[in-house]
Amino acid sequence: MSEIVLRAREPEDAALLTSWFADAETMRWWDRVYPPLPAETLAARIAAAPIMTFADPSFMVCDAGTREPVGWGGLHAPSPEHRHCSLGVLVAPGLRGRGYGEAATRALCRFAFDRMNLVRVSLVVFPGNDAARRVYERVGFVEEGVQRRAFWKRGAWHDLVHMAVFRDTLR
Amino acid sequence: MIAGSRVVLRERRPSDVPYAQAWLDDVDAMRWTLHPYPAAPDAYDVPGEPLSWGLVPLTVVDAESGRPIGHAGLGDMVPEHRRALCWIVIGDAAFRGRGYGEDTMRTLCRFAFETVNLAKVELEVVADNAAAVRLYERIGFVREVTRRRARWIEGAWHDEHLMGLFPEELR
Repeated sequence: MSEIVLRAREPEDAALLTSWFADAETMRWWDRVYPPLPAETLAARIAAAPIMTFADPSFMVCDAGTREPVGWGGLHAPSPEHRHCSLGVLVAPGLRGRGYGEAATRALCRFAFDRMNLVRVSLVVFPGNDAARRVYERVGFVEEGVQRRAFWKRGAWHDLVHMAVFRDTLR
Repeated sequence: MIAGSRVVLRERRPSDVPYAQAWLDDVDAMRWTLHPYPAAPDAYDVPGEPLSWGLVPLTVVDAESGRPIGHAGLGDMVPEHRRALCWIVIGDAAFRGRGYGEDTMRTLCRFAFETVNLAKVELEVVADNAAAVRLYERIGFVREVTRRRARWIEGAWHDEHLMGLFPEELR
């Protein structure tokens, strides 16, 4: 199992992030419709962003040994009253199948539970993305249902599978 | 205006505000809604612009008397995926349990499909709000996702259903 660390995004990460979000195989399972921001614009936004807060944690996932970025992860729409958020995670093209995704998903959940004091983390995954689903299940996510024909992609409707994990069911 | 059989759905007007304030102050009417805080005097927002794509907040009027009895609408419209979330509140207790809510929902969904050209209408409802869930199912909504313990209401966790309706399912 690969060890990872999470760190804040830096302007120098922009080119890498843009290349990942433009990668056809990565975006096959991602819910973005439009191409990413140009790297220069993204770098300026990262540089201008205020310090990370409860509202929008967004991380570079780095190999714990080399400290090289291997992916990206974010926690979205946290609710202080209902104490939940949603999660998005991406492993760089060429680095899949090494356990980075599982380690990153677990670390993001730990961050949500141990630091942000949330109790529930949810995510959506396309039904055919079996590798991702297996990762989420290993971490403790349980399927809560299927949102029918919720997403138009590549000229066809797609369902979205909803999953969630709780503080006391994270593995 | 959008005509149902017992209700009319029309744009919000400044003259609705005194009625709406009574609904917002009604604990029974507000128990299962998303907003947990006491309402500000201007909480019933009357748009200053003509209604258009994106957010369509409407006042529900009793067709016979012309009296405002609640509000309903469509929001979070996604043009690529052609879906929206809907909501309904029959604020006037005298009009609850008499079919006004059902007529409102049916009329709102017909408007969503026939006029706005949405492909799907979705809603979020607290699972313990059994009367509402039954009403939505009567109209044709299907329970797609049950988010476990996703809502904190009056000191307890509640499940939440994501329900969806396609045009061919509307009854």
